[in-house]
Amino acid sequence: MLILIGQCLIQGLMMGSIFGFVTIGMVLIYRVTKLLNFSHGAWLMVAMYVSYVLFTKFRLEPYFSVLVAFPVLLLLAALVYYVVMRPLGMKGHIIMMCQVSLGLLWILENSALLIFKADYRSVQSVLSNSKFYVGPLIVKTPLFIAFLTVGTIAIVLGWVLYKTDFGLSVRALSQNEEAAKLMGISIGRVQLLVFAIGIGIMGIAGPLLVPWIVITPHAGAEFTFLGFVILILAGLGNLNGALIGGLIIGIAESFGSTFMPGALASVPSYLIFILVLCLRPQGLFGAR
Amino acid sequence: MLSVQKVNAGYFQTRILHELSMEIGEKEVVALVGGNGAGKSTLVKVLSGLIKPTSGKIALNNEEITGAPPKEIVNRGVILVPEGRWLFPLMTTLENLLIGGINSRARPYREATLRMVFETFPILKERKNQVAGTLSGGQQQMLAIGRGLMARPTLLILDEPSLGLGPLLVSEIFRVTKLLKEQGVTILLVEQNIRQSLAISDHGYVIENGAVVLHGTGNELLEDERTKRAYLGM
Repeated sequence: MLILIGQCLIQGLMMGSIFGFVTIGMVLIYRVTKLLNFSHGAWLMVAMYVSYVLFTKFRLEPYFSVLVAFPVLLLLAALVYYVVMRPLGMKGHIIMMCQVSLGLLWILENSALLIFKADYRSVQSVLSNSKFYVGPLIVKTPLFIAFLTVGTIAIVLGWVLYKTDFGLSVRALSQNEEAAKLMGISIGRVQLLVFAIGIGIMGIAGPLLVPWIVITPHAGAEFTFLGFVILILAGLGNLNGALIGGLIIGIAESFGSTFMPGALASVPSYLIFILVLCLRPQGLFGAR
Repeated sequence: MLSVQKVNAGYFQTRILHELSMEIGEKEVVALVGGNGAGKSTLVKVLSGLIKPTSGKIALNNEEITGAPPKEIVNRGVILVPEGRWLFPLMTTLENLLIGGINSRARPYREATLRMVFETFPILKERKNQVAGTLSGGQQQMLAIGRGLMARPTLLILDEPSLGLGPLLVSEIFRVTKLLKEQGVTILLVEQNIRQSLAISDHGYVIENGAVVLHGTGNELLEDERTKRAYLGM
């Protein structure tokens, strides 16, 4: 029993780090552009299919497809921001931006459905079935690699945000847009970069997931849902909170799927979510 | 150095500034006074590029900057310390100062400017790692001015710097303003605290309903019957 709980904890922590990582992108975009990005998980799905195509066409080891998926998503996101989001944002149509992101979700998912059909696809990495032991506990290698990578990127992002001038601009913009303008920061450029990076890092997460996850056109939806749960759980717009919230939800999901009947696996995480909403509506780490 | 000619501006359909004109000379302290709703803040927002004027002309050192975005205006050295301070509340004092010097004109000198600001406001050095939102009102105002100085202003616009501060801090603000004047910074001082601001100014403009109603040297305005009656309660 103790081993089972330990196993759940490890699995949950690692899954949670990925949930948290996905949410960081949403938080960054929300803080800087005020956009609640409904299409976030869909971009993750796009990255997975990029991996899938490279694997089936060129036998490319999925981990290497990061080198393609990351720049592709970065550029696509920058394009979307420049063409659609920025003109709306400049006129202050925040709600319309959210609607556009919802529209993007349909476009991306249905394009995937059109091209790849609704079939379940999977990609075999050489590491797909590999695992190692920590004492009595089993750790799946691909999950561990994903955990390490997102952890490293989160640390790099934190460093950029807190130690560089660009990070200073991002944080300034998220705290007071008018004041940021008075500092001579070009708001449009910071928003473009944050939007592109926030979605671009899905291009890193996607290939990390494919060795052990089934790819479907709706594979991203779960991440968007959980992302919103984490976003609200942590308190809108708190980066560290998003990571910790991700870990909480990851552990809750992992216990749920181990100890509850299959259909009720998500009950613990939503229960935590509802409890937090009732007891601490500003979120666990209540940002203002 | 700054010349404002017949500027009209407002929000949506409401016109607030009507054909407003004023001049600020090199190294002068110019006071802009007027009651609530006279249009002082609107003028300040127009000067800093946050609002575009509907007509009129603004020129800085004979170069037109009408309707330029805030970034360009900042890069030309026109720096606004806004009413209500607009600090970044979750950042530390030091970070607020560093971001003040982030524009391309001031960035190369940032370390040196920072030392100078710490000399002017020793309290900021003492509190440099404290989060700005937790500073006292007076300290926040010092930080707002310090952040403005970090941008190496040629024209510093101080919007209501003494608002909401106790008498001791108000004199401190005016002491600093005088100090900056001695250092050769041109200052536009927007104030409701008319007596003290006119006393340290070379020129003053009194505006009402978005237009200049009186203009003269600081002392002239202080002696003028109309100012006395309307604002000084004499």
